[in-house]
Amino acid sequence: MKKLFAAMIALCSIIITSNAQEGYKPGSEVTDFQLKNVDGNTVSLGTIPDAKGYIVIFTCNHCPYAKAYEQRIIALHLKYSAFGYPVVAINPNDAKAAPDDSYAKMKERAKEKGYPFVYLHDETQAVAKQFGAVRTPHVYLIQNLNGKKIVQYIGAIDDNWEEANAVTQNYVEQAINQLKDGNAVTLQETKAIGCTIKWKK
Amino acid sequence: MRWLFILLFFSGFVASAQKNTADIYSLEQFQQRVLQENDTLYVVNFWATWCGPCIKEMPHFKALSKEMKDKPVKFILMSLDARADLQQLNSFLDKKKIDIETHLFAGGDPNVWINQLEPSWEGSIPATFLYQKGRKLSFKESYFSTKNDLESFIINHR
Repeated sequence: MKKLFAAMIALCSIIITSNAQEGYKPGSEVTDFQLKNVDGNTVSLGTIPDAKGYIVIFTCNHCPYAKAYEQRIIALHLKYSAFGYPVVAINPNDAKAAPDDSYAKMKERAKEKGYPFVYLHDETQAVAKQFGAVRTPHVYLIQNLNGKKIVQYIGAIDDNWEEANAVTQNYVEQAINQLKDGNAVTLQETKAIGCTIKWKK
Repeated sequence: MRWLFILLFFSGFVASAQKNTADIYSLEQFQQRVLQENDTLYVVNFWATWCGPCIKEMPHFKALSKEMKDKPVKFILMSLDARADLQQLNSFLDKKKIDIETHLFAGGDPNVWINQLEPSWEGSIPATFLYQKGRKLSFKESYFSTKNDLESFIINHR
């Protein structure tokens, strides 16, 4: 009986692990989605004009890592939207677990900081699950390629969350520059520490 | 009068010696600390003062570290707070009466050290490791909802 129980636990943990690894990998084709922007409009990737791709960033208001990266996310958009790679920020957190991440607070934050990019509310958390996002901030760089939306890079923005001045590897920028030059992305995945996405219970 | 000064000096010394304070730890220091050729089981929890689920499971670590203090089990807290927040971390330890050995982890590029410690780690915290005899026995990227969950994680590591 005890052995059966142990086997069941082992099986459960395998299932949990494999669930965690679902979602997009570099090379995956992205299914478009519809989410509400802070301006009240519904946005899909396909409705963003002149996009060669998208810097999709799962982020939020409350997380210290997300806050540390806020200015850098704004700078990324200002630099790369001109080349057809706008930032698409998505907040997937359950507002019950993280009250600062409610839709109303998102609107406040976007206005206060003058977000130049769309800041979308993933209220059902379906998009975060579809992507396989686990933390904030979590970047998915997507390229429009022959009518398909292909994931080209997943991971961190850069290698130093604490000090923007001390960054030596700009992972997202390097990936976009390679795509712009018609090359393949050499570093397709990086790890980063972030806040766990607050899932609904 | 002189004795009073000496007494004050020593009482201050004792008080500061009892106070749990964190220091800044590099990846090398961390590896030297947990990868030792002895029988001690190192239970290492990566957390941060701002991390809700980490704070929720902290009482289980506090309780078990007390219950297991006569066993060859060593609890270590690795904080991922910013280096600039070391003081804040120390007042947190003080306020919450956490007397587990604590270090503020400054490992450099997370893409390097996360992959080195555990390639399957997605980078969310809390995350807990078990080390013994110079190798990693177990890893969990999630929080322990009960003390029993943490206890069985520690006991059933083989």
